[in-house]
Amino acid sequence: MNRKFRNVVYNTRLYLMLAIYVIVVSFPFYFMVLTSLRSQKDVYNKATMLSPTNLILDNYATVINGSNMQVWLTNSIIVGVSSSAVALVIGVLAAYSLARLRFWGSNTLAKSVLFMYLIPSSLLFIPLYIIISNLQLLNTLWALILAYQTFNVPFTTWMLLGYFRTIPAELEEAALIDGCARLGVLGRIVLPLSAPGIVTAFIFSFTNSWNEFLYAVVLAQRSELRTLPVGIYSFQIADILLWGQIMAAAIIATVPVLALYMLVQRFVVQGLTAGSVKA
Amino acid sequence: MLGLLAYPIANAFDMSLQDRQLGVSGKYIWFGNFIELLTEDRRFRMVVANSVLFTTLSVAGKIVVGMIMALILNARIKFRGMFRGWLLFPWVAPTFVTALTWRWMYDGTAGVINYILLSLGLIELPIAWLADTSTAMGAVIATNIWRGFPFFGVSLLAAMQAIPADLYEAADVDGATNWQKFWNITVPGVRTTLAITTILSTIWTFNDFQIVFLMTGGGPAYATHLFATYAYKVGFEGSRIGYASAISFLLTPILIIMIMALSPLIMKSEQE
Repeated sequence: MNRKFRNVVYNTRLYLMLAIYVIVVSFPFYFMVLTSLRSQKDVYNKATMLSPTNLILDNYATVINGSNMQVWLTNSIIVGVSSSAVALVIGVLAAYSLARLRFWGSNTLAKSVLFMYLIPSSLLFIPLYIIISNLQLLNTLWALILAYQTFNVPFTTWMLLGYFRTIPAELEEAALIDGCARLGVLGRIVLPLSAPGIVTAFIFSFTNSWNEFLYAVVLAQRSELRTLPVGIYSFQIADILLWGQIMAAAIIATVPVLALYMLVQRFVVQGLTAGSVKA
Repeated sequence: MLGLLAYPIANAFDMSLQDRQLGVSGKYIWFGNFIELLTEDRRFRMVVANSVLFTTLSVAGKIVVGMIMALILNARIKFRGMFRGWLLFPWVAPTFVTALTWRWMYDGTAGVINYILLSLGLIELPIAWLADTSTAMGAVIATNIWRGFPFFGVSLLAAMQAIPADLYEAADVDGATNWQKFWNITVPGVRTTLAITTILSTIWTFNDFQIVFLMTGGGPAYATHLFATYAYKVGFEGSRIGYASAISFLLTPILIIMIMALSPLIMKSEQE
């Protein structure tokens, strides 16, 4: 009896704590959605601050039609997809050679890939600005695609390196003996086996590019070249921030990232290699 | 690939030795920028103090909140997978969205945080959280903890699940308390993971730009300026690009120390 009672107390405390976490994590999101559905006047109305009343969709319509939102969205997609695609090609080649080919310093180089990923944009943004302005690429989307390689290439390389190392070398050796060339092995055996890893690396690179702010502020200053984060921040008249519109735009920017994240979660679990070795 | 990053860093150092302005080529003044930063620039001293405070309290907060999250999820609860995914939301949401949402929630006149605190009777007058020098830093840190704790929570949870269950069973037989089990089994079991996540988070937090830039712009009166926001202000709003390079170049010593501490830990975690 006593033990049962203790269990009930323990469980109540546990779920209470969990509830606090869920509320603290969810509340800002709930409030964001509420704000996005309110007129600029209702946003400041204290009487209905927390209740879902007087909701309208006007902000979404205004944001999509009445601003540069569509241009920013397109820019974000162009920059995200192309910078991730380029990084993925470089990353696949770099990671494969680091995982399989033994050359002088290959281990040190493998570790330094991670350190390269850790070099922050706060250190690199000024030299990148100068380099890109010397290349006459300032205020083009190329500037961002190029700048994002500084974090996307180390990231995809590091991630794929871990993935390639889990693929048994025996599989590749068999193919090499059968007369397949190195690149053939890469294309026919390694890439299909690491498909989940490649998809995950692409999605993470894409979201990192999608969320990037500092390079985007510095390198593409003209309104028609902005990506979503910088564009959305400019929703203000003089010093007044239009919170309803900002939150509507912020939700539009968050939904793709959330959707991709849910997609990746499934991929990560799959783990294709286990099956191929056992069979 | 090394060139991709070695070149810009060499370039940053080269520029930090010049008195270059935006759009104008400068001349070499050698260590003039560094001397000015370290001896004359009072604002830079605030930036250093702010960065240390911001990083220490943010990372400490993320460790505590993340550790409790991991302990809750590691206990026998229903729908663990779903809750883990749900609590990861702050980490997945774009940082600029988080920063803008919290800025709105902190609003001095119509912010929901003031509304809740006033309704509960915890404060009598609304507080201008982000506009007051005494509260701005705390408000920014709270947001940063909210954004970053799930990274600790999920990493620590993975480490906790790798701890063999019979260790806890043996401790139960010996009559150990939960507290003793936490300190003698759980903490040693997650030590390497905790060290790695702490170092990574320290690097990211020390170099933060977005949260401060979007929430306070470094204000009020430089109370929340960090290295990155100050370098941006000096370089792109004030056009002293050489001086700004020197500011961000001073981030390298901290980065090198962190990477040197990280290196053996990575090897250790690969062996485990």
